[in-house]
Amino acid sequence: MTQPVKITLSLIISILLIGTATYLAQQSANTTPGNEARLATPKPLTAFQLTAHDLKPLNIERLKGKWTLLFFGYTHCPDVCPTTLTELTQVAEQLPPEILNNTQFVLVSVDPQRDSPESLAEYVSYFNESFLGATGSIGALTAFTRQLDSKFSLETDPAGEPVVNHSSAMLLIDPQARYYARFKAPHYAEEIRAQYLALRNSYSPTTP
Amino acid sequence: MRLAQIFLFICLLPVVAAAADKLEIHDAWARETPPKASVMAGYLTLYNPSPEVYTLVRLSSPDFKRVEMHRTEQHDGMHKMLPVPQLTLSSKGRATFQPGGMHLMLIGPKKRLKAGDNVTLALFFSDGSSMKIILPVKKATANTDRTMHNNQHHSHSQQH
Repeated sequence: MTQPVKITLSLIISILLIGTATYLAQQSANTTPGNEARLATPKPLTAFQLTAHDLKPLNIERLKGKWTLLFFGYTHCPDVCPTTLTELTQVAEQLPPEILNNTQFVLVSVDPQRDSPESLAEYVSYFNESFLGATGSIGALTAFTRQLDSKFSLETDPAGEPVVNHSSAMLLIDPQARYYARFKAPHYAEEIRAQYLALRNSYSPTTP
Repeated sequence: MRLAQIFLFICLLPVVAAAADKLEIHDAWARETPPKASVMAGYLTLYNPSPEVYTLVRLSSPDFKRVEMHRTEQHDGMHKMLPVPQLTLSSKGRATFQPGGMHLMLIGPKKRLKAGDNVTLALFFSDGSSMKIILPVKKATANTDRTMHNNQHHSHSQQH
């Protein structure tokens, strides 16, 4: 083998090795739990007012100082909403106490005509006594879902039955009331817990 | 005359087996609901081992006002529930009702059903046959849900 061929070959090999190493490093960064769920820049929420199942307001103040895992649903939903709440029950049971202490779990009902705060109280506490249910006027719910890049629609089927459609993602709000991460459905307890813990570990309140 | 009729009836009877005699039901259960819930979800797997095609056209339960088949779908990041008017089972076909997918809507319970209770369900087929089955009521845990929608989870993890 001539000298120039040797140099060219070793160059090609080096480039391939560096390329592979970079690719693998990127892969492992992407698969770190929570990374793909986190927003590039946390989005501070603006004032909103819903009513929690304890009849106190659910507003921006109530989100501050705690992490909040929140999703949209309604109590007449027999399949997805109870399934998600069951997964969240397991998340709550398996979080270390010091983490659980400053985590709140919130179901926001987008079906205020049928879900009163009182009926939400009974519904969410069936899953876990500490879970919070909340709802509000259609206007307040529309503004709130929009802040969280979510949406819902209320329709009536041909038989006259209400049909409620809603975003399936679960939202994570940080203790500064900033929309921080978005978990796509389907929701599984292990994945939510791993992503949530990883996001908290890498969290710094001062930098995005 | 009457004998001839009976003879004819007996001759025709075994030619086409009724759906209700052929279909198998597996993993049937209903999800315990919070108090006062107006709807309960039921799950099961239907399997058709026969060479015939059968269509499930209607369901009813003495424990509920109405029973419907629905499917949860994700479109554009939204959860939607779509009615399934009827369900055709091809030969060797299987239909699975499971959390997060197709499910039975047990609407308007006559009383609250709790884990340990049973839901009686009647399935009506297009050939006129019907069958009665029992769905034990269970309180779901993340694990029961997980085993039930294992397939969905599998395809979910492949996407990443």
